[in-house]
Amino acid sequence: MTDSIDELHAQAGLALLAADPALGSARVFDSVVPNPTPDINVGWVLVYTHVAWPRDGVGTGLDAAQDTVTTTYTCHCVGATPVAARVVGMQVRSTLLGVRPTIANRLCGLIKQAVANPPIRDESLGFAVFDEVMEFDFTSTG
Amino acid sequence: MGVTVSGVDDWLGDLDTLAERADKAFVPIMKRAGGNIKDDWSARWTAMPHSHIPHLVPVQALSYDVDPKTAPTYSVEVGVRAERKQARLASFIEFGTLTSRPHPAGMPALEAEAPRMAEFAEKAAADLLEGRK
Repeated sequence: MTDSIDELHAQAGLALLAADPALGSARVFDSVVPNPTPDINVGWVLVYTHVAWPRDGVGTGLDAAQDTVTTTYTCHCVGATPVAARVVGMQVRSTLLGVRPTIANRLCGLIKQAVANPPIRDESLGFAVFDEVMEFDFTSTG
Repeated sequence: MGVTVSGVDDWLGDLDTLAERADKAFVPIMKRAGGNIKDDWSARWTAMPHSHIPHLVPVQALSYDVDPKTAPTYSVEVGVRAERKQARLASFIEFGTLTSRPHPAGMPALEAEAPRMAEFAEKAAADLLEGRK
């Protein structure tokens, strides 16, 4: 491994969420809900990150090098009720939307919302919760 | 010394009929874009190493609709038909759940098609403005 660019991009959004006092690191999970499952009455956000180097279009510089990174955060905003899920969702949105991440030696664009879904019932944890899924993404070049 | 300008009347005629000609030019582009996104989306899900995914949500459930009544803004909606069996699982596959990671195919298919669609739309717009369609 010669650099940590991908991981720096993944951590950029996670760090923003964890630094939000209204959420806090105890309510921001990276790809895995801890065991034992946290108190659903508090609510949390589960974040799947995807870092990609697209080949064409925006991803290719004038010198034909692939120099652009797109980072996607799929945020599962979880609460015991639809209202609770939306409250977590609003906090996530207000923390990420419009922020320009800072990554050394990279020029980062603003974080934008790509997808927003209404809260849906999710029983994959063994009990019913409401899950509002949002996707945010940003591009960087360098 | 004088200046002669010609073709302005023809051009004004082209502009006057723009609204009538736009549907014929842009609706097929949106239909083709919708079809390409749908096909790409289903191909990405089918090719995923999790062999159960294509069986959970049949690729035939993917579809698209063009609303031709939105001129001068044209749109196409691509997705899983809600009335199809197990359509609800599509969002679980696309965005993941609390215990399984996402398998995005819709957004990548959209991002792959958008530049192509824009290129065709730009050409159609130029043709309309210059009276070639």
